[in-house]
Amino acid sequence: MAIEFYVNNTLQKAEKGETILSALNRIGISIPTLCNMAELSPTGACRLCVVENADNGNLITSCSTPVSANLRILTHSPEVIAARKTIVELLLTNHPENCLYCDKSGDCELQKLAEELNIREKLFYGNKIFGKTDRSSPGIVRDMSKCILCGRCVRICEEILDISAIDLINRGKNTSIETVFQKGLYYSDCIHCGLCVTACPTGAILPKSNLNQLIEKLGDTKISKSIVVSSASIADMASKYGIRKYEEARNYIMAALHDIGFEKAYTMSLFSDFFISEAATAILEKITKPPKPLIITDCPAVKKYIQTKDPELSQFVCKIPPSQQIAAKLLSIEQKTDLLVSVSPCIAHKYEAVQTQNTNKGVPEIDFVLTSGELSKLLKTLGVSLPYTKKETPDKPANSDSSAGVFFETKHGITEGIVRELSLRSGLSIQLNRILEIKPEKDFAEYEFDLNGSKYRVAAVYGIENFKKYRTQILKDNYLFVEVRSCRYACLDGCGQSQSVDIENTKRLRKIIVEYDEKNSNNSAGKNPNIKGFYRSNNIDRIFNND
Amino acid sequence: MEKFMESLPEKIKKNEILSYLQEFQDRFGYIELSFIELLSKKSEIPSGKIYGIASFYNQFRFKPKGKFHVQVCEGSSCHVNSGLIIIEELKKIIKTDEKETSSDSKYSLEIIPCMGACSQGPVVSVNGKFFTKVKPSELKQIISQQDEIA
Amino acid sequence: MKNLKDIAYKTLFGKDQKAFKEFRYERSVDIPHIFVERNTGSIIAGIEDTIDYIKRYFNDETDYVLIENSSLGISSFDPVIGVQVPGRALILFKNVKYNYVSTILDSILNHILPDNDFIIAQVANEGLSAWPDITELSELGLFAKQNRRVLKNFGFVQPESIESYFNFGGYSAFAQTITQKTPIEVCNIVEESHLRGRGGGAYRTGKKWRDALNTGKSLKYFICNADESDPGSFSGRLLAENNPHLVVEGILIGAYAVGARKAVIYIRNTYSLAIERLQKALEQVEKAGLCGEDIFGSGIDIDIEIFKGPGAYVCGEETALIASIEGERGAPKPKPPYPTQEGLFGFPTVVNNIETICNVPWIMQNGAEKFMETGFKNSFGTKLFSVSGKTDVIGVIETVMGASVNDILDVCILDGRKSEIKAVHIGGPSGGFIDAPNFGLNLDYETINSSKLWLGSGSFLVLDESNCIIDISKYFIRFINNESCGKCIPCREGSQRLLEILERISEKPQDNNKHESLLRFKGVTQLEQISKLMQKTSLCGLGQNAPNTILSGLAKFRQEYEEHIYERKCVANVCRNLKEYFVIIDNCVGCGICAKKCPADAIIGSDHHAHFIVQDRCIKCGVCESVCKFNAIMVK
Ligand SMILES: Cc1cc2nc3c(=O)[nH]c(=O)nc-3n(C[C@H](O)[C@H](O)[C@H](O)COP(=O)(O)O)c2cc1C
Ligand code: SF4
Ligand code: SF4
Ligand code: FES
Repeated sequence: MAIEFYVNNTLQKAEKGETILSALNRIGISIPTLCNMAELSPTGACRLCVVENADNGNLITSCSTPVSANLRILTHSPEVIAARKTIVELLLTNHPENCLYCDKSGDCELQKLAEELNIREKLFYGNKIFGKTDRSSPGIVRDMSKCILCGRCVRICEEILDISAIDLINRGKNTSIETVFQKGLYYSDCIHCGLCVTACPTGAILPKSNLNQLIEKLGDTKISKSIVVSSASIADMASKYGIRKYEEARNYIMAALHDIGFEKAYTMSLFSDFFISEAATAILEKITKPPKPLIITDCPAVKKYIQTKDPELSQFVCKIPPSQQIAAKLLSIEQKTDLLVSVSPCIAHKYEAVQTQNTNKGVPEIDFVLTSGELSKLLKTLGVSLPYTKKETPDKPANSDSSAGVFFETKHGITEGIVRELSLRSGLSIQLNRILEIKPEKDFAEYEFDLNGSKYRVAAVYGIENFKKYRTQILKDNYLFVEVRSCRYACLDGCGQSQSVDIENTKRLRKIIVEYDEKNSNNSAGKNPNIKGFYRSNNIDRIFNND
Repeated sequence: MEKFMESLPEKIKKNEILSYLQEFQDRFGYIELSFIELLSKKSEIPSGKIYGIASFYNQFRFKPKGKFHVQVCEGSSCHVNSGLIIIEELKKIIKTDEKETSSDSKYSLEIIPCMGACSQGPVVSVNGKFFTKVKPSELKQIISQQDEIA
Repeated sequence: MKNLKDIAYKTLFGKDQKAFKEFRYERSVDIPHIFVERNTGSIIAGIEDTIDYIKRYFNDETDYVLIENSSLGISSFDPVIGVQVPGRALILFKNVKYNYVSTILDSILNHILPDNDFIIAQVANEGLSAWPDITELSELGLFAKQNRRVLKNFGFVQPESIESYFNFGGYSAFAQTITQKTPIEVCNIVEESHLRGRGGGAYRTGKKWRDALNTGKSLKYFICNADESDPGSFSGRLLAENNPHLVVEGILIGAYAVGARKAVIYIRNTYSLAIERLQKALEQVEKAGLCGEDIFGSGIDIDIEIFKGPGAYVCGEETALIASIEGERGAPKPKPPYPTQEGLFGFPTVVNNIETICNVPWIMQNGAEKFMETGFKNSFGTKLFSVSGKTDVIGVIETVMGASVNDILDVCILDGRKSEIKAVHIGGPSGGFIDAPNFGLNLDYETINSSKLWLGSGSFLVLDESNCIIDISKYFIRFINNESCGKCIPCREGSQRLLEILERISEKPQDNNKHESLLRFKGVTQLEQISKLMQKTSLCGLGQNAPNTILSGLAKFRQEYEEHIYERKCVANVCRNLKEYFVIIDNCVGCGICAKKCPADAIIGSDHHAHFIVQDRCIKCGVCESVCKFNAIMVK
C-alpha cells in the first residue's frame, strides 16, 4: 500500500501500479463496466467506468488508468452519472428492442445497466445497426445486431486461446465482430469452447437452441424417442432446484423425461464407464510400448483445437470415441430408437454431434444435443417442475453405473476413473480420491501411482491456455497419459449450464457428485455389472482399437 | 498468383503482414482468402485476426476489381462543389457500393479521401483516367464512354 | 557523374558550395529550358499531356531541356510550366493544358509574350533581360503576402535531384549539426526556438525530443507522421512530393537529436508520387553517405524506412500509427504510457508531423532566435495552410504563425470578393467554423484553443453563401463516423447519432408526423448533449475534437439551424432533400423537355401526356423547374 489518493473526499490507499478500478472495487465502491474483464487486458473501449478528476473536472477511465499519488476522484458526481447515462442511452438507441424475445433477458449486462442508471425513457431515436446473424455453428449463434462491440469475445478468443476465430473487422460505423471473410463460425478456426458465450455481456453470442424442434418431435407418437443425460447436467439441475442428492435428482429427472414422452431415459455415466474401460485397455497395451504420452480427452473443443491449431499432437490423441458417440453406437445396437437426444453442459457437444453426422454418413447419430439450460427450459415449458412427483431409475442398460462414470465429468474425473480401473484390473485395492485431494482450483496437476511394482506419472490440464502453456512439459515428462479439457472446471462449468458458472456454484455441483462417489461401492468402471455383462455376452474385451 | 505465393519467405513477422498484403493487392487488385490463410500459416497469426487487421484499412478490398475501376474523391474541396451528389449518382449508375464490385464484375468503386487536385473538383477517375470538375449530368457519359473504348 | 559521396562531401564541407550552379534558375541558358511542375495535382489537371505536347513540339529538331520541377504550391494554377529562353528571365505560365502548349511556346520562343491569362510572373535575375510589364514572382501579391520559409525553394528545387537540393544549401544544416553539435544541444536549440508540433497537438518539439533522449534506452525510433488524411489538408503531400530531401534532412536531424537509429516515414499508400520521390531521395542520400552507417565518420547510424499506411484517418493519431506499423488494427491506445516512453515495439519513439520536421533544418541553420522573430504570442515561426473552397487561389500558402483569418483570405482572394465569404472552416474534421465577424481572429495556438477550435494540420476551407453550414457539418461528421476506429462508444455511436440528427434536420422525413417534428426540435439540445459526451469521454483526439464543428456551427450559425428546423428551408440551397419536386398534372402539356433535361432520368411520361417524377431517382437539381415553360413543376 504505497500510494495515497482521495475517493469522494476520503483518503484511501492503493498499491503502486494498481488501476483506479481495482482499487475502488477493493474499497467496495462499485463502478459500472462493460468492456473490462478481469483476465483480459484493458482496452478502454466502453468508457462507462469513467470517474471525475476532482482537480480539473476531466473524466478518466478507471479501468485503464493507474492510481497516482494524491489523485482526487469523484466516483458518482453528477458529471459522471450524466456521462454514463448518455453512453448507455447511445447503446440502447441502436439496440434491437426485443428483450422480450431474447434468451439473455434477465441476465443481460446492458439491461442491468439501463436499470441501474434509471434509464426509463427512450431519448435518442436512430437507425438500428444492421447485424448479420451467424447460424453456421451448431453450438453458437451470433446475432450481431445485439453486439455492443465491447470486444470481450475477441479478446478472450485471442488472449486466452490465441485462436482469434473472431475479430473486430472494418472500422467506424461498419465495425463488427466477424470470422475470416465472414464465412461463419463453423468454417473458422472456432473450437466451440464457448468462452465467448460466457464473455458476452449481451445476447449477441448465445448457445444455439434446438428446443422448439425437439418439442415438435415430442408430439409425434409414431417415433420412438430416447434421451441420455450427463451427470454434470444432473448436478446442475440438482443445485438449481435445491435437491441435495445426485441420485435423487437423477431419478426425478428420469421420471419426468419418461412422462414428457421419452420411452427411454439413460444417464451418460454408463457410457463414460465404457470410455474409461476402453481407455484403460488402451493404456495397458501402451505400457508395454516405448513411452509417449497418450492424450485422453472427451472434450470436442480440445480435439478441434489439436486438429486445427496443433496437428502435430494428433498422433498422441487417444482414438477412443467420446462418451456421447459411444452412447450413440451402443444404443443403436442394444435398443433401436428413432430419435436420440443427449443432454450436456456443453455447446461443443452440439458441434460434435453435427460434425459426426456430417463426416460419418450412415453411422448412428445423436439427433439433438440439449444444454442443461435447455433441459431446464424444456421441463418448464412442458409444465414439469423439480422435485418431481415421482422417481424412476434410468432404463437398462443405464440402470447400473459406477460412480467413476459420474465423477468422470468433474475435474480429474478421467484420470481418477482410469487409475481406479487400472488398479482394479491389477488386483490392487482401489485407493479412493487420491487425486481429489488436489485443489480443484489448480489448472495443472500431476499424480504418481504404483502399478505392479512400477511407478507411473499422469497429468491433467484444464483450459486451452494452460494446455498450451504446459505443452512442452506434457510431451517431455514421460507421462503415461494426460487428461485435457477445455473448461477450467471440466464439464461442470460448461457454458451450457442453466446457471451462471461462478466458482461458488461450481463447487456446489462438485460436492453433489463427490458425495455420490464417496457412498458408492461400485466405484470403478469395471465394477459396473452392465459393463462386465456387455463384454462377456459379446465375448470381447474391447470395442474400439486405439490404432 | 501461385508463383507470388510461392515466392514468400518461410517465416513472416507480424509487422510485415501489412506490406505483404499491400503487395498482393497491388498485383492482383484484391485480397484472396487463400492468401490470408497462407500468411496465417507463415506468421502463426490466426487468419481471423489478419482479416480483422486488413479490413480496418481503406486500401484492402476482398473482391476482385471490376473491369472498370472507378475512383471518386470525397475531399472537402470536392464536397463543396457538389461532390456528394457525384458519389451518390455514381453509385446508382454503376450499381456498386464502396469497396464493392458490381454483380456483373463490370464496375468496382473506390472512394478516395483526397485525390490531391483540390482545385479541379469534383474528380472522378476510371481505370486511371481522370475527369475533373465533373457535373452530375456528365457521369453517365463518362462511364459509357469508357465502356465503348474498351 | 562523379561519385555522389565526393560531391556531398565537397558541397557540405568544402568551399565548393556553388558547384552545382547549373541547376538553378539564375543561370543564363543557351538553349530553351522548359520547367514542368509535375505533381499529383497537376497530373490530374493534365500535366502529362502537356509534357507530351512539349516533347512533340520540339520533336527532336530543336535543342531544349525539359526539367521536372517542384510546385509553387498553388494547385489552382495547375498545370504550371516555366520557360526560359536564352538571355531572358524565366517566366511561369499557369493552366497550360496540352492544347495551349504550341500557342504559348510559339510566341515565347520568339520572345513574344502570349496571352496574359496564362502568365503567373517572371523570375528575373542579374544578367538576364526581364520581360516587360510582367510582375516579379516575389512581388506578386499572392507570394508577397506570404512568409515562405518552409516553402522557400518550392517552385525552384527539383524534387528528384539531390544535387539541386544541395544547390539550395540543402543538407548543410544536417552536416553542421552532426559534426558540431551534441544531441542534447540540438534538443535545446529546438526547445529554445519554441517550435511546436504542427500536427495538431502543438506540443513543444524540443521537449518531446529531450524526453525521448533522456530515457537513455539504446534503441529508439523517430517517426515522421505524413499520414495526413484530413479532408482539405494537402500540405504534407506538397512537402513530400516536391521537396523530399527537406523532409529527409529534417528526419536525419531529429533522429540524431533523440538518438534514434531507426526512422520511419509513415505515409499514405495513396500518395504514390510522394512515396516514389521519397524513395528516390533515400537512395540518393544513402549514396551520398548522409544516411546509413557511420555518417561522415561520426559513428552515427541512421536508417530511414518508408511505411506505406494502408489508409485510415485515425492512423494519424500517434498511438494508432504505431499500432499500424506493428501490424495491428490502427486503433488508438490509452495514454499513458506516452510513445516517448513506450512506443514502437515498446521502445521510446518520437512521432513528429512532417511540417514540424521541415521546420527543423531552417532552425538549425538560422538559430532559435531568428525563428522566433515571426510569430504571435506563444506561437512562433510560420504555418502552412491548405486553402480550398470558394477562393480564387486553391493551394498551400505559408504565413506567419498567428496570422489572422483576414490575412490569409487576403492572400488567396484576389478581387475584393471577400465580403461574400460567409465562414471559414479550419482544422478539418477536428476543427470548426469561424464566422465573418470573427475573421480578425489570430490563428495562433492559444487563441485557437481558447476559441475551442483546432488548427489541425492547417486546412482552411473557405465558404460563401452557396455553402450550407449544416451540410458542411454533416460532411465532417459523416467523415468521423466512417473514420472513427470504432473502438469507443462515445465516438462510434455518438457520431452516428449526430449524423442522424443532422440528417433529420436537413432532409424531408419519410412520413411527416408529429413525432418526427418533435424529434427534430429536440435535435439541437441532443446535439449539444452528445457533443459534450464525446469531448469529455472519447479515448482519442478524433472523438474528443469531432464535436467542434457542431458546437461552433451552433454557436455562430444558429439561425441557419433554426431555418432548417422550423422553416424547413436551406438558404444556400444545398440541402436539396428538404425539397420534393412534383408535376402539376393540370399544367403539364407533356412536352417532355423536363424528361430530356433531367440528368437523373427521374422523369417519365409519354408525349402529350402528363409526366411524372420518380422521387427515388430525383437528385433535386431543379433543372426541370427551370426548363418547364408551363409552370407545371412544383416544389414542396
Ligand atoms: C484523430 C487524429 C488524427 C491525427 N492525424 C494526424 C496527421 O494526419 N498528421 C499528423 O502529423 N498528426 C496527426 N495527429 C496528431 C498526432 O497524434 C501527433 O500528435 C503528431 O503527429 C505529433 O507530431 P507534432 O508534435 O510534430 O505535431 C492526429 C491526431 C489525432 C487525434
Ligand atoms: S459479441 Fe458480445 S462480447 Fe463480443 S463484442 Fe459484441 S457484445 Fe462484446
Ligand atoms: S475517439 Fe473514436 S477514433 Fe478515438 S479511440 Fe475512440 S472510437 Fe477510436
Ligand atoms: S470498463 Fe473502462 S472503458 Fe470499458
